[in-house]
Parts: sequence; structure tokens; C-alpha cells
Amino acid sequence: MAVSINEDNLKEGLLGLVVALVEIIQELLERQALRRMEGGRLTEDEIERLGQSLYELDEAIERIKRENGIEDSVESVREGLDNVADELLDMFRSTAED
Amino acid sequence: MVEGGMYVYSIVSSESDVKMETAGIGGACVCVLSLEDISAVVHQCAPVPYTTENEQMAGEWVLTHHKVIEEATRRFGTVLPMRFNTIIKGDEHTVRQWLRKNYEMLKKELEEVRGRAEFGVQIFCDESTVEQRVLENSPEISVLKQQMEKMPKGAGYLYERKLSQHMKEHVSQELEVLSKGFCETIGEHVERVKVDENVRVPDEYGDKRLVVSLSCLVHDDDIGKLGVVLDEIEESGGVSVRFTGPWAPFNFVHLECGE
Amino acid sequence: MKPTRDDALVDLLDRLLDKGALLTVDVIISVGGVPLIGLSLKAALASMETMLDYGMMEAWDSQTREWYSSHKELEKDATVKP
Repeated sequence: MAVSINEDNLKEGLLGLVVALVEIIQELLERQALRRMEGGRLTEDEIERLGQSLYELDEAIERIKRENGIEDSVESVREGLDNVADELLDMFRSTAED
Repeated sequence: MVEGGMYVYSIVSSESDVKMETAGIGGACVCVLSLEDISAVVHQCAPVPYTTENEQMAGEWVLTHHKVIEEATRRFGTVLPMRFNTIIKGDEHTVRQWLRKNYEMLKKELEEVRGRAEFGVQIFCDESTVEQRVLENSPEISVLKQQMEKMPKGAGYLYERKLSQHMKEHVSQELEVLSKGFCETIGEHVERVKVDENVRVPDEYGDKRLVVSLSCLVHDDDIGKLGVVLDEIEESGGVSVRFTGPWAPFNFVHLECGE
Repeated sequence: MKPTRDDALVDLLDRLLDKGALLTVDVIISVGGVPLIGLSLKAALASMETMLDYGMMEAWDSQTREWYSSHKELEKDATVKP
């Protein structure tokens, strides 16, 4: 069970890996923000400020990817991580079935 | 005494020991060892699995395994194909003993696939087509979109993310429904059907969504009919169908062997 | 619609490496498995596509397809075995 690291995603070194992880955290933040918004726990003002920050985070990540030409490498690292997660889940599933 | 190994390509219906024309992996001589009316297609090898760092070599090995299976299918009819790197510790005698011990089961499995072959059916669709359908079924989304136009930037961004998440979930659900439908329809026209998991698709379909990938066991007589059903599915719109085969019944052999 | 094997490589890899009978007896040394150490399958696919460029698979594939179309006639003539 290994993340498939090959030339493509090692080329840009650790930056690709770091940005991939930041993107995952970004997704978690957004999901949590949406949950709070839908749960009615935010004022209009808070929604606006939260949205602004997340928007700026998204812009920053996109800019870093663009400027360093690492869009593809980030995508492939994330695919690799997805596969690891899938394998792990399958392992849990099969032990549960035993 | 150092034991050798026997690389097994497939089990076939054959009453006699013969040599195969196709060279095996690494140029090995492939032969057919029989026990009564069933046989194993094998070559002698070292008692270790084939591994390499060389991609070219690995590719050749896999292709060779396939070519041997193809020749066996031509000569003996539908075979029970082994996975790559199925190696039995021992020699001819070991193989024949194993055939004897599992004769009933192997014979039964061979009968079940006689006159049949495996075919792959993969159905793809454009993400945008499905998104369109989801939009049509959720009027609340267009209402939300109108509201979003008047929102300040931050709130607008959050709602846009919400919408995107909503679309993703509904597209997945829609695909699930489609997938079940196709599986049912196709299942009615083939002998056995199995849903493939973790499928590799050719590059040209890279930008489409895979709705479902199926492996079907089809009798020779029914191939034409299946083709017609698939044409109908494609004509019903919004999807493209990839129909592959014939293959040896890789997905429909489950040899539960005793010692 | 007729079945094809034009993009055979992908389908082949799927079946030969992940499917097919898996013998689970003590006499088995190896149970299937990817024949590559330290290489991604994507790389293997790429190299196999090179082989396709050299026409290795095309001739074989058309031969096999020819066989399958004549095979059906043979099946009809063969006597049914018990």
C-alpha cells in the first residue's frame, strides 16, 4: 500500500505534496463553513467574512499552482492519496465482514 | 533435490498431452498435461514468481500469457484462464495430481463456460449532460442562482461552493440510478453479469464519466442480440458504449480447490 | 454494435493481473500479482503502447478475430459432448 510517487509528481518536489495537503484542508474548512451556514449558526456578517477568507485562500492556492506549474503534480498526488484511502477503507470493510 | 515450478496458463478440455505452438513467457516451451478429458496448459519454470524492473519485459510477459490463452481457446474451446504468475511448486506429476484431486470441480466449471465468452461493456456519459438533467429536476437551484447574483462576494463564494457540492452529490446519485438501470437491462440479455470495480479506461475516455463497467458471460449465439441492445442504449441518448471482447472468462472462474 | 479489442491493452491488464482464477492451495508459490517491482502500472501501459506502435498486437488481434468469426460456424457443426 504505497502512494505512487513517480517522476511526474516528484519533479516539483515537496511543493506539490504540500499544496495537495493544503487543498484537502481547504475542502474540510469549506465543508465545515457550509455546515455552520446551513445550520443557521452564522450571522450575515459572519457568512460574508467567512466566505471572503475562504475565497482568498482559494485564490492564493490557485495562484501558487499556476506560478509554479504544479497543477498536474498536485492532481496526481491527490489521486495517489485517494487510492491509499480507498485501499485502507477496503481493508476495514473486509475485516468488518469477517 | 531442488523442486521446480510449473507455470499454469489455463485449464482446458483436452484428452491428450500436446505441445503448444505459441512460445511461453521467456520463450519457454508450453505443453498440455492431461488427466482424462481435462488438461492444464503449462510451462516448466523456476519455483519463483516472475518479477522485473523492466517495463518492456513485464509488458511482453503479460502479452505472452494472453497469446498462450488465445491459442488454447482456438484449439480447445473456452478455457478457464489463470491469473498472471500462477505457479505450482513441483513438476508434471504434481500438476496431474492436482487435476485429479479437483477433477469434478474443474470439469463442472469447463462445462459452464463451454460455447461462451466474456465481453466487457462500459458506458460513459458527459458530466455536463448529467448536470443538465439534475438542474432540470431541481428548480430550487435556479432560484438559488438568482439570489446569488445579488449577494456580496464572500457570501456568494460560500453559496457557490454549496451549489457545487449539491451538484456533485446529485450527479453521483443520478449516475447510480443510471448504472443500476443499465445493469438490469443488460443482465436480461446475457447469462451472467458482474460489475467491475477499479476499472482502467483508455485515455480517449478520460474526460467522460464512467456510468458503469460490466463483464458479461455471453453465449456465442447471443452476441448479436447483445449488440442490438447496446445500440439501443446508445441511441437513447446521452451515453456512449464501449463493447469489448471476446475474452476468456476471467471474471467468471472461481476455482475453490482442495488440496 | 460489434465487440472490439482495439484498446486491448487496458482490458488485458485488468483481466490478467486482477482477475482470472486464483488458486489457493499450498502448492502455489505465487498467487497472481503484478510482475513489476517499483514501477507504476501507468508506465507499463505506456511501454505496451509502444509495442502496439511496432505492430506487435495488430496482426495477432486480427488473426484472433478471424478465428472467432469462423469459430462460430465450427461450433454449430460440432456434436454436442455429454
